[in-house]
Amino acid sequence: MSYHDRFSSVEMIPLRPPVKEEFGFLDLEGEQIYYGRHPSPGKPSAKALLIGPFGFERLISYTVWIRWARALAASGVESFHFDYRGVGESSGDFRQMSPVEWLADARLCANHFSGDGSAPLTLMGIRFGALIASQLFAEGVGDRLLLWGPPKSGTNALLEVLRRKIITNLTEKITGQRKNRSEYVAEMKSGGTIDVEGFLWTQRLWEESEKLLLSVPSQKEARPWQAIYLKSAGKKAKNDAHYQYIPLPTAPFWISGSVILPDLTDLFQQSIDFIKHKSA
Amino acid sequence: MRKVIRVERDSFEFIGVYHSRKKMSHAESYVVLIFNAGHVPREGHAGLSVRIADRLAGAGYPTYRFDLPGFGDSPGQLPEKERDIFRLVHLGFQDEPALSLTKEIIKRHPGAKIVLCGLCGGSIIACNIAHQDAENIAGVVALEPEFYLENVNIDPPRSWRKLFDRAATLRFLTGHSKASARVPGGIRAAFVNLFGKLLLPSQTDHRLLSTLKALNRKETPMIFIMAKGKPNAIFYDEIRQVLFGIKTPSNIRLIEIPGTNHIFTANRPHNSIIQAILDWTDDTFHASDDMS
Repeated sequence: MSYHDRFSSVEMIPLRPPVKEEFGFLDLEGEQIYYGRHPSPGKPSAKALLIGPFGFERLISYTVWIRWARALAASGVESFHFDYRGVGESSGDFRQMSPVEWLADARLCANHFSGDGSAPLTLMGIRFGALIASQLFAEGVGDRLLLWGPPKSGTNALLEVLRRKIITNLTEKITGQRKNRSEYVAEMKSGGTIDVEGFLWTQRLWEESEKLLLSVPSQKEARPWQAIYLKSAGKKAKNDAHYQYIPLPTAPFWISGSVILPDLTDLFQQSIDFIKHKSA
Repeated sequence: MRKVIRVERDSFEFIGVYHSRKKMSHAESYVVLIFNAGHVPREGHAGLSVRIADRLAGAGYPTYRFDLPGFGDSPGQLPEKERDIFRLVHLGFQDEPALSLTKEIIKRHPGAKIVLCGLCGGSIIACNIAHQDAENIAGVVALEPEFYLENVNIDPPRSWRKLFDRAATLRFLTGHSKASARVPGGIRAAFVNLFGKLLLPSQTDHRLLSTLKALNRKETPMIFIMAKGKPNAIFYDEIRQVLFGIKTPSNIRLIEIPGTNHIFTANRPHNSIIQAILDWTDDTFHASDDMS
């Protein structure tokens, strides 16, 4: 019995690229930025730079993230993802990093990946990465912008994570002084560092995140853009050219790890259609 | 300096990162291989595996971190749900690829012995591979291994029913209940020796227990790093007493980290964990080198 047949009692979901992928490091200011390039079979009809979340959200959503990169590649869209400095596989001390550095990382990757510009480039961001993507798009980078679950601002995103930290401390019966979100924020603002899901958040991270706002393109923006929000099934929401709402079968994949590979067919298909110009 | 490594072997493809050693030392005859922490990508929770690898490389141990098939960047296949992954890992789902990967690392470092490391499911895989390839494995670093096949409530019931409860009896005999102190340790140990196996929960991973026993027979050096007072730490100690009696075997070191959680993200005890591993590698491998 082959290795793959031995565990056939459980339905397995294949996680394979259409063609061989490339993984490596880019150098920036003495640090190594990790990237993965997912080529499509044949000449790509489009390119997508994937700009992800950081911290625990990155860890929990990574399997879906890679699956998404491979789904794009299989549909003829070459994709590229990377880790911010101080996060994941990239080198650097997280305590020294903030959205300023991460925007520079995204800029470097966009330059590196867009190449000769023969295929249109979509900036595709999720959560915190959606904020970075929107800022980069506002600088004139990219031909399209696609956002998944963008928060309103960097601090908005950080506060959501802080809420989860407080809940986790209670459910896991973590000892030590219990604080509320305001107290944690005050601690950061006064120059202290706080431990959030294993990462040390600093005053600079908070202050730079305050400046990081979702840059919604103006009416005059000719380049297509779309924000997709994931909503609970059954909840009604109005879709239009720029704002789409897709029901989720479970808790968002960047929060809950109980379903590693949720069914995201609608999200993937709609996003691929947008990137490949099938919708505007 | 980190370098991306791709390994293709026995129909598996692995993507990983190599941390080259930063100084020459007699540690060069040992190479460290870190598996995924559970199903998360190879950097581990809050980058714990990266930090371990950086520090071990700094101490002279070339260190690899790899994604096993389906995890992180490595192509493969996975079930939809987390609970199925854990069940499959206990059944040996990742053993064959992990063994194949280990053999490749051995091939790349002729004459070196391998130290395997993992957290949760990764530690189970490390134990299984150490058992299957004992000749080439120098030791195992097991962070928070889970000895049961699925989540099991090892807390005894609070009512009078605990008098007839297996988990409560095992907890009492192994010294983890308030009432334990009323009975001399020697008597409790004798009962654990006689009835311990019968008192283990039905969800216990007996395959892993057999592996642990075999590794102990071979005197494979092992370090277990557990979150103090948490279910895995208590269950590990109960199992240790059932398997080996009251005295910890000399080849096993136990480090308990207070105030943290299963994935070591609460109160960020990374430095304590890394220091414990460095102390253990120094004591285990450098000491034997000095004697030879």
